[in-house]
Amino acid sequence: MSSNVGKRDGTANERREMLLRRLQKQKEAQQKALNILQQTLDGAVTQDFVFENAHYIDPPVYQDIVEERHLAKLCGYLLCGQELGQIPKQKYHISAKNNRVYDISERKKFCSNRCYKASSYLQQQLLTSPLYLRDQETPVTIQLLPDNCHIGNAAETIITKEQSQIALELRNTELEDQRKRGMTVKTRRTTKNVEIATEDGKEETQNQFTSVADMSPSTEEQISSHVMSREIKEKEHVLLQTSPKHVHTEKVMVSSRSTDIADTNSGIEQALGSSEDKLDELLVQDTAKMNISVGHEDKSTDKVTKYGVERNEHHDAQNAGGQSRKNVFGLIHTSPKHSNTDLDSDDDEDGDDGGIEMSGSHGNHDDAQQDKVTYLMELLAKREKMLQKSSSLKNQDNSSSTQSSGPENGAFNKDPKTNEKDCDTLKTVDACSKETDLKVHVSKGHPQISSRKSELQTVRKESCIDLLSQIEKAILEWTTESTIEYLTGDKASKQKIIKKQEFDEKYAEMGRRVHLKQLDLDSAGLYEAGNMEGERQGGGKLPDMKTLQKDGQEFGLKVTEFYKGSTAYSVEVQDESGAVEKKGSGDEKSEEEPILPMVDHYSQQQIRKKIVLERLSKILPDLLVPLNLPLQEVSAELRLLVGTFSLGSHNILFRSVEWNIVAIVLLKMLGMHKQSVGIALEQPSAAWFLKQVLAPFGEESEKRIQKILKRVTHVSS
Amino acid sequence: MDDEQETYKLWRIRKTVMQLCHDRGYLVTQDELDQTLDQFKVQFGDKPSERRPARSDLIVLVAHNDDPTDQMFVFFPEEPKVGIKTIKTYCQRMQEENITRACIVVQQGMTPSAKQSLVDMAPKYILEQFLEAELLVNITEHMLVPEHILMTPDEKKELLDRYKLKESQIPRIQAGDPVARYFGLKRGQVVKIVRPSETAGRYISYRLVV
Repeated sequence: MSSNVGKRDGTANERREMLLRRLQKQKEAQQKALNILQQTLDGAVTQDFVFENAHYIDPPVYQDIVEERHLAKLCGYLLCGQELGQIPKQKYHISAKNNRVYDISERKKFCSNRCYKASSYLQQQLLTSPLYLRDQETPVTIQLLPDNCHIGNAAETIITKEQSQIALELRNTELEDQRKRGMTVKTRRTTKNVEIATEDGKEETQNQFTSVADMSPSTEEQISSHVMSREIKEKEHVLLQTSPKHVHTEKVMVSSRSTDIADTNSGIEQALGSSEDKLDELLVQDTAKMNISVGHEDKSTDKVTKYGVERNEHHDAQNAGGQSRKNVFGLIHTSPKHSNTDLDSDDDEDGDDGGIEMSGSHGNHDDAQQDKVTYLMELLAKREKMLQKSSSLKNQDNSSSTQSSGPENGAFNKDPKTNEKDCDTLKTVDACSKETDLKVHVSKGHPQISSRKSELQTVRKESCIDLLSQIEKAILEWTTESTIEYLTGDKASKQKIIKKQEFDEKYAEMGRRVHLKQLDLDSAGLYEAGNMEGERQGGGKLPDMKTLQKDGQEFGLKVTEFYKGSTAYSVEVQDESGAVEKKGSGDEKSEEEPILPMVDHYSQQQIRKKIVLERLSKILPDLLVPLNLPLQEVSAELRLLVGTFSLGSHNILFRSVEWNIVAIVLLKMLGMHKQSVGIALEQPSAAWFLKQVLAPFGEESEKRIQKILKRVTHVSS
Repeated sequence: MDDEQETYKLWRIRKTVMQLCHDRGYLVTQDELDQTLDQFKVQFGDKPSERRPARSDLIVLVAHNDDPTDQMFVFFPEEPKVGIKTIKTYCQRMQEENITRACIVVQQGMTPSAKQSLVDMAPKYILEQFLEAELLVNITEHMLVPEHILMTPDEKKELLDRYKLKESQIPRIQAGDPVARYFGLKRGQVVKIVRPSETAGRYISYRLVV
């Protein structure tokens, strides 16, 4: 017993000792952190000091260091020895430029934005585990923000940013750093390595800040940060600079995949799938971005241009994807025959391919097209476009001189088709140039960007023209004789059209009423069906006495027949009577009220009209405010104008940016019809505004629109 | 904040501080306890914005009634938020003058590390922290706050013996209790609380500081 007690005492003592030891340890750790803190208060510390002691402090202690240094009138960043001269008293900074209010309670603890950034960068790397457990952990290697880190010009004027923005900016700068290092140190990395590394990178993206050793940024991360950057609309120079690079890596991915195809020849399907995935991602991203930018288009024109650039990048990536596919085609079609037909079919396939890509981005109107001829015409047009693009790319190729080196290049040259098929060669050469591009990029970096940009420019212009031509086509399809009558005709014809519109509206109203009645009928019919099976006399009216009696007799007959054991004859009679009955009731119904079929030519038109008007009404307010036009003045006229269109199922689907152009064209059409609108559009401010809106679509876009208008009136008359 | 208001505030704070010192048993003259706002203005000035008075002018040094070597500082830091550096300078001054007790009346607060450093110095130097806002009124004068009387070690011993109590059997009061902070109570001390009672006239209870 006594020994037992002693044992318990022993364990209790042990536990107490352990607790005491732990307490002691905690105290020591705290003391150490406090000591470190006190050492930082005497001015700037050395980098070694930071590397040495970063392991023994956590973010709250670091926050304390910043605070203490601030109170000691020192810059909060502990590597900076600058004194804080004028500390702003206010808590917020209102930026009139950005229309935003910034909380500067954190920022005013630092001498400069750079220090602030560096400080948050450092703080992000600190471990968050308890201080007294630090001796069991492996120390992290702390990275300091380099001195020559580029800070955007805008950042100098804006005193501070919100936390999320800072985080984003940090991430971007970090990526930039990594890339820089990649350029200088990582020359040994081949394209394959890049690919492998990116796979690695995907897994470690979560640990962006802690795992600084990881050099390769992953694409997903970039995309997400990209989207975020759109959302925040931070017009930072840094971001602008980094964004094209992001796309670069995207391209690197794609092209590296293409080398894989050339090398292995086995995982073609897989690579295709993955590149398609990537394109899907891009598409999703693109649409997301569009949604974001729609509402603000009128506010900032440069955003529009940004958007344009974005989309072009997207196009470019698409091209790359298409090329990788074409490589596959090239590999598949290794048959020795090089007849013209083969070429044609191949080209067609190319065009088709491109067509799918295009329709993905331009609103899926291909699938709705049933007319074979127009389809073929379109294919031809697209093929032409593809050829144009490839020729422009070819020019690019000629300009880049390092093209002929590299084992991949040789592999492509072995392709027997290179001599025969212009198109295919172009693609492969282009892919090769991509490879070399990548290499040059890795070794040199910046000079490549400019050439890439010019490439982007060309592609962009083409896509804009393409976009405009689509709109033109759609509007041409819309216009009917009544449209032109409405726009240019005399008063009588206008009256006629207005009347027709009224009729349409009445028709729609009637359709709705009929539909409601139908619903009533259905429910009534259901109710009666519950009561008696054979009775089909809807109409909501009570049947009169005679019919009821007749029914009763009939039913009695049926029952007696049934009990007798039904004969063929009686059944036949019954059937006949049923048929007669049914017919009668049907006649009755048709006499009562004409029931129109719900799905017909008119109702489809109504639905389409509704869709178009709805989309326009979303965009118009933004367009009309700068034009000084009240919405009421335009809306009625626009409704009439749209009413005269013959809208098809395939030509009313646009992207939001395209809707903007459509709205502008329609407004101009209205301007021909209505004086006030026309005058409003002629105003210099209005012209300037329209120019700004149309700027991302190229210089000729305005002329294009004029041409569309002319063609519309011409064709119709 | 305009000068009038600020002066009024400082006067109130200083008055409460004087009462605090008096209640703790430090020697404070009756004049100082009864100082009116006008007298305060005459003595220190009425333009706090022009450092007349500056907070550093308000610093109080009082000696204990029983033991004149037991002295206490009351510091009024200039900066709104007090960091570890200010604490250090105060600490130096206390060392120089061989004083072990001090109160710091801060305007807005202290950094966590400064608070930590106060705790770390605790056994040798006792520094207490008050906010200005806490000292605008003397809480012990509030009608709902009963009278607290600190018991000497002898009185405590007598109490325990008389009622045959162990220390742990006395009801407790926290050291962070506003009244306990006002009196600067330390762990292990006992306060006698005297409440008026309708039935008994006076009701006395005891609290051990934990």
